[in-house]
Amino acid sequence: MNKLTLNRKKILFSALALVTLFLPSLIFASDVNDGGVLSSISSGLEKVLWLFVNAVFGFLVWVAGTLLNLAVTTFVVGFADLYNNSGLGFAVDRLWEVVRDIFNLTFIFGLVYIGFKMILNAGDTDARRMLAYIIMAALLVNFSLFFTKFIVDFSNVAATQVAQAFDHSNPTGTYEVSDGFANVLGLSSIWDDKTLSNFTTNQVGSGFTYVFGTMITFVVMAFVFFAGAFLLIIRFVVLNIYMILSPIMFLGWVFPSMANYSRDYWKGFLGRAFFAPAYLLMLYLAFYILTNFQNASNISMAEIYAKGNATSNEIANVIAMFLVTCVFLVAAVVVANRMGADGASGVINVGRNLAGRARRATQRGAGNIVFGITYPARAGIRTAVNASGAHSERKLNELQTRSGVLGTASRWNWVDKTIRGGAEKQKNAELGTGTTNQREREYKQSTQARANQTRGEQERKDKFEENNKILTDHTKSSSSLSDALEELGKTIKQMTGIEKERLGFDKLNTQNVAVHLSDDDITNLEKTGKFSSQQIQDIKNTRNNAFTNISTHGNVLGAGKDSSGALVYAHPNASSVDQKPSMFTRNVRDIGKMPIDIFKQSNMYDHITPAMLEERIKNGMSSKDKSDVRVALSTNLGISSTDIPEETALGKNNPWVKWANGNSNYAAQFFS
Amino acid sequence: MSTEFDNFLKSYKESDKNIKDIIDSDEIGIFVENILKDTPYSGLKSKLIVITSNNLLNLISDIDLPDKLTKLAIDNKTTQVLSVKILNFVKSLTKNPDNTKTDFDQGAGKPFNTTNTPQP
Repeated sequence: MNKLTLNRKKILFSALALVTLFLPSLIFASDVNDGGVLSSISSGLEKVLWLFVNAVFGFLVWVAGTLLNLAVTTFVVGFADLYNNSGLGFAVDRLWEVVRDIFNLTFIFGLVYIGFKMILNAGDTDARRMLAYIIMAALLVNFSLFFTKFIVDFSNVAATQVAQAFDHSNPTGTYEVSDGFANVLGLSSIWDDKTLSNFTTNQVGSGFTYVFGTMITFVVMAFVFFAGAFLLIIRFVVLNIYMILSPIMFLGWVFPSMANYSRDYWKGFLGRAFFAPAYLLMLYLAFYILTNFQNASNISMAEIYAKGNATSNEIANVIAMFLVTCVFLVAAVVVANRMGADGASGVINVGRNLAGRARRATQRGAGNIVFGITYPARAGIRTAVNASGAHSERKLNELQTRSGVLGTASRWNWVDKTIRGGAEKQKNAELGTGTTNQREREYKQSTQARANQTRGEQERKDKFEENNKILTDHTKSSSSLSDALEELGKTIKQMTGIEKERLGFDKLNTQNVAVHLSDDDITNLEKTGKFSSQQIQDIKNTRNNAFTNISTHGNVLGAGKDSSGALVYAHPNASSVDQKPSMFTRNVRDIGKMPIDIFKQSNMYDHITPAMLEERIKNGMSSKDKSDVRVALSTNLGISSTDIPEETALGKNNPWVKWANGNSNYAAQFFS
Repeated sequence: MSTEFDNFLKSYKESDKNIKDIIDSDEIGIFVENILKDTPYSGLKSKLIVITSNNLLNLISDIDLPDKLTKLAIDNKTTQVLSVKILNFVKSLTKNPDNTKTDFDQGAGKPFNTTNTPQP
């Protein structure tokens, strides 16, 4: 900031000096006329001064301009050629490798340090953050030279584009930045004979204006060209050093205390790199403005200096153009430096932001990586610690059952609390794994149970389909049909409510399936809300029909009667299939809800037990039904329908005898 | 026309859970077996179970109970004994849990006060 203020002061001072120098000359040009003596003295002095200015300052401008052209052509535009073909690049690459290896060593030490830190305290966030940085740095340090080269190339390409805007028609390929300025300022015409003769023969004092004006212009231009040239040459050298030391750019990531070095590196490097395009851009702005300015004024600086009777407009234009030229030229150096620095700061801020994001992402990734890498070790230790806790607890329990001193001591509250508390802590220690043996065991069991359930569901589904297919296959024997029906029944009973629901109405509404549904099953189907009331009723009716078919025809395989009244089965081998036994394998409560007609079939009492009948009575039975049922039972037992099952006829172990002579209220009511 | 069996099932369905539990259990059967143990009427066990359960379900009134027993050809003396036993048994089964307090609980042995002072 102070530097900028100082430069501004210098520029202001130079402008005031220029104006001061110009004003006397203009007064002399209009007012002084001494009759020839003064003129001849003045003329001689002007020539001497001119020769001096021309020889010394003109030479300086030439040297500075040539140097600037050389700097632009060789050290900016030709940066890459010089780097690659002069052996400099090779040297820089080798030296960079040495520096990189040194930094890699520091990274290894850093990793070891962080490793110890994490082992001692796995949850340390500082260690995790540092790890994230070190991983990023270790990766990126190998690309540090690439990054610097990329930035240097980018800045050089940008500078080249600006330099090409100047006149570079020189057949040697030199970028003649300074020549463009010389042309636009009309410096070439300063040496023109005609112009010189003009001012030497003109009014007294006009030559001084020309000489001093030219001198100041020369001085300013020489300064600007020299400054630019030297800064560009210095830039070349410094950028090479920055490339060698490029690993420093990540040093601060690994060692936070060295963050300043990295920040300074970035700032210096970017400032230097972008000085070239910034400087040339400022020069070009000056060049462009001056070119258009001169075109508008239609008079060259040399002509103004030489012309004693210039108009006020012409003078104002020339003064203005001269001032603008000087300001732009000086500003080119000042502003370019500033732009480079500010640009570098901006880029650093952007870079820091990006680095922060990358760091956070890496930290997360690193955290996960570290978590993943160290997990097996921690899990192993946790397993051992948990097992040790469980073992200690068991041993304590065993000890507490014993008599004697040890047993007594182990039952003391203090001892129990201490040992059990410690064992409990060990059992529940997570050690950063987020789990314990007990939870892992439970989780494993639940996973296994889920897998088993899924496997079971799949197996049941397959069995269901397979057995249903057998039942529709007319080539299957009666034993295959029996087996299929039995398997189907078992499978349906094993199915969960959801599995049964998934069968869908069409399958549930077949007698094969419905006959195996319990009342609870049907209630649950109803509760799912996926079946209408009519569908539920249809399923119930189908089930009752199936029961009736089984009790009357033995099975549900589509038995019917032909015109003569003989039974006809849809399946050719179904006649000998008997589903009755399987029908009564369900629980008594469900059997008690079966249709009353089943209980009116005498052959059903091969399977119906007194408990089943009692359950059926509880669920409702009219006195008429009771009579029919009693007839059926008596028929099956081979006794008179008015007789009560007796020990003498049926034996004391007959269940019906036991039921009739036991303490059942229902038996008493049934046989009364 | 409803028969005794129909009435039994109807009353059973309408009765509360305690009564249903008693009917479902063999409590009445065991009681009947016990009261017939020292009588020559053990063959009437089933009939007596029906009578007792019907009395429990109020299908047979306490007054009609002796007649029902008499109709089973049980002698008068035994009828009286059995009737009392059955009625007591049914009463013990149907006793309201809130009315299970003894006389002592109701105030016997306590000093007289405004609530339990004997009135002339």
